[in-house]
Amino acid sequence: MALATPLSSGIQVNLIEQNTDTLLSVKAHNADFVLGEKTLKLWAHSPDGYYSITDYSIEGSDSLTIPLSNIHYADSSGEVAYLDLVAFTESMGLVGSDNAIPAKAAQRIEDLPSEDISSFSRGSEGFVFPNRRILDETIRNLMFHVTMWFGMVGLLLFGFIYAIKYILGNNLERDLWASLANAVGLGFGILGLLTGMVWAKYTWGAFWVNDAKLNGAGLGVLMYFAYFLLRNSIDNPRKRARISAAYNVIAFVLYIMFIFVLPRLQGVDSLHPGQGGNPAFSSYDLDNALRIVFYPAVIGWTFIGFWIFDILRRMHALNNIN
Amino acid sequence: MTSSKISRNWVFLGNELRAELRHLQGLAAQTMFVVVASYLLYAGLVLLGHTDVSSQVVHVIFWLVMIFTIVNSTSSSFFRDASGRDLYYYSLLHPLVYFTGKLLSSLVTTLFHSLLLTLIFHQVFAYSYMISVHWFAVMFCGVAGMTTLFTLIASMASKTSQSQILAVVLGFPLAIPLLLFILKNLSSIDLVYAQGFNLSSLSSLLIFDGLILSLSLLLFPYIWGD
Repeated sequence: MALATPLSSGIQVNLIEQNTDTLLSVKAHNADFVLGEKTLKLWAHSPDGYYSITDYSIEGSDSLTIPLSNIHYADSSGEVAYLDLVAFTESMGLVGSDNAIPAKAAQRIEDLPSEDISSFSRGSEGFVFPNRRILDETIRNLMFHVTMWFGMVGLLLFGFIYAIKYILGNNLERDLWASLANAVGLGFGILGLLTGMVWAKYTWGAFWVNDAKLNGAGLGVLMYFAYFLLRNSIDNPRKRARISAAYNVIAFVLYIMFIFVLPRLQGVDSLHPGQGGNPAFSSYDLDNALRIVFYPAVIGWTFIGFWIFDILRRMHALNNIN
Repeated sequence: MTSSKISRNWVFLGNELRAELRHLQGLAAQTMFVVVASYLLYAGLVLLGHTDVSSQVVHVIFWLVMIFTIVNSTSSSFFRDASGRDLYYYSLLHPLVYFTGKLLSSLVTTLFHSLLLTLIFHQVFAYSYMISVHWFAVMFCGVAGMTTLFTLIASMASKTSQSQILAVVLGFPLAIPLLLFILKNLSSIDLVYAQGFNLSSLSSLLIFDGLILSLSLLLFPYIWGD
């Protein structure tokens, strides 16, 4: 479902230079300007209202250009730096692009009457994913990358709980369960990092950026690798269980700190949604269509993780039948 | 009873420090590393005329040297006891006494090295902010946090068969965020030095130190028993 659901219509706006003019180039996604030419309407949106744009030229079915100097708007506060661009066709409905028009390049006219666009509705396109700026089609990765991290945190929490249970009870089976849960959690963590790197390449331009949450996630994977190195270097099962349970406690507590607390601190820059001054994850990235797929996906990935853990546990039990 | 418990702690600490001084190779190696690293920096930067290097580079090198010192001193203090002397201490001391004794003896040697390095850098690079309350506060919090962390890690690593490698491998992912906090604090030290010392700039470092210390005190009694 994550891969097959289409994206809703959206527009992407860029500034291009042509001769001596600066033009606004509008590209449409899953929309057609030529087919909708008769019903096409464009507005510039300032805090004071919507102002119609009449001077534009349709270049192709998915692109049109608007000369910036012929955009008129009114702004009583005089402080607005960017205007939003709102477009409408019958099939597409109302779509917008925030902060698309630099206000300095457009013409500010005192007391220009604003239009009422409440009669124009969003198109009903069925079950679609929202079209977000920068993300575009990659929003589908939300169902893989983010849900996998949720599953991973669940598995590592399970490992942590069983490490504490071992500390309190000295039952070797609990130590086994903790190590298996951590192994599956680590596997999910590596996959999460890989999917995150692929996502970063298409949205942020590089496989790895200097982001607090990425660094924290990378360190966490290193910590759990060290956990398994520690386990492999002790032969006595009780000693191994004891030392690795202690390291598990430290690793989990610090890991939660690295990926949840550190990126949200004041003064830490982050590209991830919800940290470093970006709008929070739930309000920014999840609309209803996404939610329908996302919550079951989280449950699904968590179940897959625990299923893998259970298979490993049973394999271990079968290997150790004497 | 209480006074004998407290005096046991000081006696144990005194024993640890005496052991450090008797097995001078560890202390000597660390001091030599400090001096050699300082001389390399002096030769490479000052003598060859590259004095335009950013102070943050010098801070990074300072902390690289300190990491080596801390890993070395904490590992050697635990590995010294690994061949049976720790069993003797188990019968004698409460685990937290043992832990704080090891921690404090490592802290004494690493603070000595950090002060030595500070004095050398202050002379070589003429950074006036190195003799200031803020610098010493950051340095002390950083050294204390790292020493606590590596004391705990060394106690775990000393129980394994590849203790030297594991002490580093286990400790580094945990030490990196602490280093980032320290270096972030030091990157604006020129400004803070001009404005005067305030505790809030150290808050994240202090919280991290507190977290590590409380985890260590909770977990060490569980780790040390055999």
